[in-house]
Amino acid sequence: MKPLDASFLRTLAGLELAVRRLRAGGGEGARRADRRGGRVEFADRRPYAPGDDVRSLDWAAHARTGRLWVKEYERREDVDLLVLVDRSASMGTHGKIDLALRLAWALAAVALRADGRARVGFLADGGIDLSGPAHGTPGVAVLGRFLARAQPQGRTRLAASLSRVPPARRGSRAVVLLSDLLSDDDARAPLGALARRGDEVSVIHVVAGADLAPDAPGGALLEDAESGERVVLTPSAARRAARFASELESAWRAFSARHRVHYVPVDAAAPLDAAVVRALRAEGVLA
Amino acid sequence: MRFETPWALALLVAVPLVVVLWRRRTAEVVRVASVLPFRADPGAPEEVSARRRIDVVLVLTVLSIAGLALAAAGPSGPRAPEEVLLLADRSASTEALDDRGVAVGASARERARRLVAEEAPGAVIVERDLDPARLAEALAALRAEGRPGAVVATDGAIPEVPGFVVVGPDRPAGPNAALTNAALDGAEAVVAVTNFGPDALEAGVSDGTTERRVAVAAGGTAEVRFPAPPPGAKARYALRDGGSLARDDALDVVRRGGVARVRVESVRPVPRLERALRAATSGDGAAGTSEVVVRYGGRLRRESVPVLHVAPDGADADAPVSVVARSGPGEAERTAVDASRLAGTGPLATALPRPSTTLAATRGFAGGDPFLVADDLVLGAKAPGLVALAVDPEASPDGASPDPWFAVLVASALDHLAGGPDRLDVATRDPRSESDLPRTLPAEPAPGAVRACVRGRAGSTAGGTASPAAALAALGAACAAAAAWTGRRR
Repeated sequence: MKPLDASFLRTLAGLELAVRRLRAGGGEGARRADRRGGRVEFADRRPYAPGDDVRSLDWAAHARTGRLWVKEYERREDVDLLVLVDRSASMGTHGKIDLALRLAWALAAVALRADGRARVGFLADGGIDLSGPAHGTPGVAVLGRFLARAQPQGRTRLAASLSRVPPARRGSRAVVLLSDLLSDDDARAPLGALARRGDEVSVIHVVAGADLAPDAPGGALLEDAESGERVVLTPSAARRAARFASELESAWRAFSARHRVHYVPVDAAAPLDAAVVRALRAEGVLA
Repeated sequence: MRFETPWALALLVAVPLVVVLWRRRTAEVVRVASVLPFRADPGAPEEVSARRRIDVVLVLTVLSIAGLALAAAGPSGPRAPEEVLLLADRSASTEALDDRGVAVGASARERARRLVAEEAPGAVIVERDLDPARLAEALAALRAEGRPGAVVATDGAIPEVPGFVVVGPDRPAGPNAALTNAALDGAEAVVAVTNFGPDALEAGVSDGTTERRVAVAAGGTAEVRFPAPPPGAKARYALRDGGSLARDDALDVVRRGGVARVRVESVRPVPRLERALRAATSGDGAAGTSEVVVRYGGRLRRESVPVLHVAPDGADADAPVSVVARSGPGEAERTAVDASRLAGTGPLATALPRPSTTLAATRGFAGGDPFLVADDLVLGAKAPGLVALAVDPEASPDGASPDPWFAVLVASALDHLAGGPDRLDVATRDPRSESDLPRTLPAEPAPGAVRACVRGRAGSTAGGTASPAAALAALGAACAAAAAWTGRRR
């Protein structure tokens, strides 16, 4: 894994992970939640509306104005980040694994520098290999070493691997999956389950154009990096692959809209620079 | 099938070479992240080893190489039979008989066939008629068909033309005499008998009722007189003992022309015209019986071209005709010309005067002498049995601006309707040269000359279809283009 260059790290300096849904009851921290409620810090007051918790009524304001007001609070919580990297053999083609590892490291660094907690893990062959939780700036190096040992091998069974993701122990959690999504099974079901449990799920789709349009003459044999299966590259097969690419992205975008999951396709051939950061910010992964 | 350049078939070795190279190239295994997107059915692995797909580009490439190699080898289909063109002179003289009673044309054709059979055995003879007067056209057609030459069967010598091998009869035609002309002389028909033979002869000429004997010197012509047929009637004169050619021993004639009287009428009474008619016909005039009537009822259009008109200068028939040219109002130039120099007889279109040329008037009156009734501005002609008058009803009586076009119109109409002078027209007659039978036979063709006229030895196929080489080359090129196109689409 190539180290992150200084300019990219500077780009990350002012960023933090954007987490929309945080579970109540988490510990206090430096991270401000989007959702208002709880009793951590007074944020604002608004007119009472039927259904509001009567415990939130601002009686002092009522006494002054004669109208019912509801107090709103925000609370600051720690960020718990889990970055899952698809480490199957398919990620070893066209530089996908390198981009995924570096991006995972970068995201972990963002979380750790904001006093959060971060873990990384590898997914392959239906299993999951998690690092220990890392805290603070020193954790960046720890996670970097863990990521550096990744060797792409095994088959992609994202659904099986994701079903083994442990639940958040406390507070809210951001879960980021980095994969080429060329999985034998459907990863959307377990991701949807994570989102329903309250995790802020992001899917970073590492796309290599050469995966679907290989530089091979007509009639060449295409060998699956994971299974060894071979398929003849025919014009119709090439057309099917192009169609597959668009259908895959459409399906993931539909899934992300339905489950409030972030979906960010990233070109594996593109440099890991401000453009990637902009894409992540645009999709709400970073703020 | 035969090949002109069989060594080119060695190029076919390239076919298996291409297949081997292709297999090696397409056997290349490319590692991809997943074959999932390429599967026809994502649920089922694709069979790749049991049955490989037919590679269209490979097939097209092999076809193109094979086609081009075979084309280069120059295949040829069944060879077309050799062919010799025989041009047969069918002119009248070839019907003349030799001393054996055989037509010289038939004798020449038979000799030509024999020559072809001797020098080009097995060659097919394609026979066509030849008009000896149109040799150049025949030669051009020959070249256009790609024929190296032709054998010409004729009874006489023709100009020496490269590519033509002239074959004549083995014996010349016998002496010949012919009826060569017939003319009218008053009430008699004069028939000319010409002796084309080397010796004097005496022959009988008949008009169907009477036969008259006539002696004709060698190479000379004699006349025989018969009563002329009535106007409009036909007559046939026949020559007995006319020699070797029978078709010139008869002469069909018809008596035409000689209309006795022509009257010109206008849409309204023209006193000037009537006075002129009376003067010309000694009082018979407009009231008399006319065989042809010309009615003039339309308006003539004046042209802006220089105006010419004919006005005989005086009443003397032998006096020269004066032509008056007007280039504009009041400008006139009078020139005296001989009447015979005037032109324009015939249909109106050709009779109209050309700018700055003479005007047809006198000759349009069928040979009559022009005259002018000066006081009445009537243009006319008078001949025995014929009176022709031309007067423009639109012209002013004082003679100002007479319209010459009217005279031309009437002259042409008269010529057409009156049918010209009283005469005998020969209905059918061969040229005189056909009766003058050649006594010298064509020179013998050089040995082997006929062989040079044979076509169809190489590069030709039966039926005249396109050569297989061209078709194969086209197929090869098309396959190569299709392979390139298909390859680019991948």
